[in-house]
Amino acid sequence: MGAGAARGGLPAARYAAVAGLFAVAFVALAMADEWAIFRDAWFSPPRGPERSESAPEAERAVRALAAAVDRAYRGGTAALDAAPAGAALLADLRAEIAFARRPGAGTPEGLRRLDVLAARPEPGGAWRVATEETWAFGGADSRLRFSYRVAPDGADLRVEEATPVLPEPHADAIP
Amino acid sequence: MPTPFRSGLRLLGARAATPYLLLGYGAFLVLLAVWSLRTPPATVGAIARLAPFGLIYAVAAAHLVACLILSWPALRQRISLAVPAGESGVPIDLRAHELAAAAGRARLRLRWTESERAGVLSRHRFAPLGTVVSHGALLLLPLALAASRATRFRGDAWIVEGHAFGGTRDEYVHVEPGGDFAARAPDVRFQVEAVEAKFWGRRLFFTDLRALVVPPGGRSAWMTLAQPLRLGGARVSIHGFNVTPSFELVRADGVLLESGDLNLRLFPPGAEDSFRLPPLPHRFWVRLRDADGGYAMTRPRLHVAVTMGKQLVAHGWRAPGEPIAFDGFRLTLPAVRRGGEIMVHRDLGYPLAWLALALLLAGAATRILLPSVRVWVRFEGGVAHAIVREDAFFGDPATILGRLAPPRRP
Repeated sequence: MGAGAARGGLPAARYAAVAGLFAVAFVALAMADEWAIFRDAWFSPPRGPERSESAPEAERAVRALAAAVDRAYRGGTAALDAAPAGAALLADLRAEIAFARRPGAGTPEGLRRLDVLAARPEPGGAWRVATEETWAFGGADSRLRFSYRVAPDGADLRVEEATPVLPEPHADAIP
Repeated sequence: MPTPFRSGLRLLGARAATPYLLLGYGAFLVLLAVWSLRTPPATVGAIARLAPFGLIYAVAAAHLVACLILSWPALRQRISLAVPAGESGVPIDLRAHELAAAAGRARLRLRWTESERAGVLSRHRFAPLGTVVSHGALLLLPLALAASRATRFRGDAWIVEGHAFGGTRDEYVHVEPGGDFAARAPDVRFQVEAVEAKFWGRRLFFTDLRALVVPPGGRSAWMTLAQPLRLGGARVSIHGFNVTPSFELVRADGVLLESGDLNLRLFPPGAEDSFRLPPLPHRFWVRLRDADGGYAMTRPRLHVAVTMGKQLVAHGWRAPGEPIAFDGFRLTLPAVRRGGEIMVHRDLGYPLAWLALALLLAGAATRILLPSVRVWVRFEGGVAHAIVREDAFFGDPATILGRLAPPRRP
């Protein structure tokens, strides 16, 4: 019997202790059920500058795809057959390259430079790789940033998405 | 000798357990509230549905039922008109023919039995049952949860003025729960006549957002930020604004190849979205701003960029109707339409939960605000004796007796 109860009041100390015990039990249960979330929030080291040890594999997949696209621009879409890319992306690339190589369109000169800016892990063992690429078309260079999603395909990685990241247009230029 | 059932009932309904169960719930709800600030709702929901917590709900419900059963005999006595056993009452200065007038003075209802020369006066006799009603209402909450789990549907969709919303799966951007769409989705269909948004000056704060919709065979009605519509048994509310252009694709020789309305997300100004027009391999990226600044879109300007593979083919700001040329084609975005994000919500657990809340409040109000008074008056040899029971939070039996007649000094 607590001191408060002995004086006829509420046993506040006992109630506080019980509430604390309940809270600890609830946290323990929640941690057991949703361990991954608690582990990431409380015990994982802070994330570094968007790189990790396995990022080179993702970068390699992106560079291999860029090299295949480069060959395909100059020599035909057959160069894409062994490219490390998903079926949907390959279909888009074939259509784009076929259009770029249409009669009278001039010959694309291909990849001038590719810099990997960042590689960030995503759920499911996937990676988001950011690049800046310079490609030559009809004597003019086109420098664009791209965002690639690289996902596991068995033991290998393959590129599932390739999205250009366009610079923010200047609002001053609005007519 | 107590039976095992009665012993179990007493254990389950022990009054001493009530504060601890309430403390447990309090701690649980506080933790859920804290987690919900930083954790995805699905995770908080998963935690709340954990089996051990389900056990606590069941124990609390069983405790409540046991308490109600155990307290019923005492409660029945508190609403009974039977003369309390073993009490003779206090003598009061009252004649039998004055009793009806005295009852009126004290605002009590009189039941008189001539053969026994006795009467019972009462007011709000059944008010103590408010305790049962308010506590029993809590038992409706599990039913509400079960009904919610069986019928809950929430879908988010984008609507565009001038277009119809048919409530099909493809039109919803997001649906909860994921499966069983055909069985759960309400029949919500309407034509969008107009979408209007007003902003607070040049700030991104809505002062008004509304959509004029016409259900099939129905009358047009405004759906506003504050006032959802009820359609097909569901609440349909608008909570987001959008603008999206129409398009025309023309060949260099002027032949119109394709035209239509796009469903892009271009709001707030500066947001970028893209579309493709197969079989062309190009992707068209669009941003929208108001040349006057702000969000009213009085002078909309569209930034259109055309990419093809690794190449930025063309880009630039255009007014609606101004074409952008690329690779032997011209793309024009001739008009900008307003649209909105709607939420379709149906949950049959809600009516039950509201009923539970109403019963909880009604029961508590009855118990607290309506004092139950019972007075037994018996005449023997010309002398009246009264027994008073006042079951009220702020009551005073002496006051009742004083209103009937001043007590006679012994």
